[in-house]
Amino acid sequence: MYNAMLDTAAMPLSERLLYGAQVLVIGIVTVFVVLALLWGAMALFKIFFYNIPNKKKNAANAAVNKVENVPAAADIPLAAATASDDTQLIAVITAAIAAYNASAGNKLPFRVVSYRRTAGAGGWNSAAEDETI
Amino acid sequence: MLESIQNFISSTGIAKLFQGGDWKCLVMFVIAGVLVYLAIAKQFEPLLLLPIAIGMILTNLPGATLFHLDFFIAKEIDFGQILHDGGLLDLLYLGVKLGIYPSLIFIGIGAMTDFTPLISNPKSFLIGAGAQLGVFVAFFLALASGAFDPQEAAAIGIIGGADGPTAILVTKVLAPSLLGAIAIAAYSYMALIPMIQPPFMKLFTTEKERKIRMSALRPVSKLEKILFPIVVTAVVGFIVPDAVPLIGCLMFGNLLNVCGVTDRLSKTAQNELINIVTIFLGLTVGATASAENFLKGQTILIIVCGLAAFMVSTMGGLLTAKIMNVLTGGKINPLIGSAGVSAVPMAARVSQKVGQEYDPSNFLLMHAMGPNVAGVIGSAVAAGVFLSWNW
Repeated sequence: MYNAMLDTAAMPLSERLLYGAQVLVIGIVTVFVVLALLWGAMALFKIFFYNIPNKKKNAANAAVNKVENVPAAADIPLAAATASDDTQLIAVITAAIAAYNASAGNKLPFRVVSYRRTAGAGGWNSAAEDETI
Repeated sequence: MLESIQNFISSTGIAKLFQGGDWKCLVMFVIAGVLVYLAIAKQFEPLLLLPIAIGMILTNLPGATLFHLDFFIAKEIDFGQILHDGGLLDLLYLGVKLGIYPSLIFIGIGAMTDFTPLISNPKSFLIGAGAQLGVFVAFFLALASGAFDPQEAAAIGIIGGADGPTAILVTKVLAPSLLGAIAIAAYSYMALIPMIQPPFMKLFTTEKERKIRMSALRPVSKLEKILFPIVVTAVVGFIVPDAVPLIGCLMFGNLLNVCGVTDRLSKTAQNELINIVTIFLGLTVGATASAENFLKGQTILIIVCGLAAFMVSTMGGLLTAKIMNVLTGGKINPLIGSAGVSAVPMAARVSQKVGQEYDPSNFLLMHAMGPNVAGVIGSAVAAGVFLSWNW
């Protein structure tokens, strides 16, 4: 490596190019190494803060599902499903998210096959009215 | 009486205009006028180009001598002289000379930046690294031209980082006499990114690649967001300590934003702090572009090398993204590679726009933000390499 106070103006072209190439290679390699280390650190983030907690969560959910006696959909009273006006809104949002995720290439266990306009005020209208009132 | 009138006339700016080559200031007024036009009419980086243009006009007013660059070029700065003889612009320029403004601006940028896409898809770091290729290639070209010494070539190279404060910080240390030309070139090219990048994006990608849809990003927890700035500062600081004034401030600003308990500080950093510092920085950087300092052959070379830096950086990012696309089995749209040149968020918007030309329902913006913010970190690391080099 060259020393401080390098007089490149007095250098022949070949030496100047060599010096420039040296800085170029060391510089870009340093940038790659530092950012690759950061990539590694973020990969560890994913393992410790995403994969492992998710596995634990999934395991816990599976255990709960086994124990719980979930009523069949047909057994749920209709009144419970329609107790809140928000259900329609939730359905719309869920469908929109599912459609977006499906378009983004995700493989979800369900897909939106159809949609239709309902009579009367829709969920969005109700939500807007609630918000205004 | 007559003598008094003569003295007054000779002291006017009009008289000085025709003495000792001061006519060159007219050329600078034209250049400043172009910058004002670009800032106001075209809205190209108006927050910086407008103060820079006004700084240029103020410093080139004949006889006004509002700014004294010679106070700051000397190796040993006489602060007493600056305080005693200096004016407003001299005093404000201390913030540039001491490296205060770029760091403060980085606090604001950090507070405004969302690193979630980068944490979610950390492979983007490599694209950000690839997009720094232009920095070092431009350094090489400037050095090979024989018109610049290595420090000056390094300051020119950092234009390719597409990051104004970083370019200013490196230039004020390594080549203060070139500060005006380099800052103007850097900000002008950043404003022209929507014109510079698309031809290279189309040249280096196939239509099939441009239509690639990337999978949704994973959610990122608050803990990850809080740990990210701390880890980045530690990793960069231990390897390239000279990058810490930039990276440390960037990450501090980000921590203010994500920690959730310092909203007032975060809002101040994002608004009042960065706005005030931007005014001071723009005015004083523009003030360094005096006619005698700016109108020389070196400036044209700086503009050419700066353009080369932007082009090569864009190519570097695109090629890195292409390689990663091949390695991941077609999961990465190479168009996001051009966003690695920093210039947040303009470069990411360009990726989104070009992607939608080929598939209107393809949303690349969030994916491009990863390499985009990685580019900010990458250019700061490149700056650290130049600052720590034993020239």
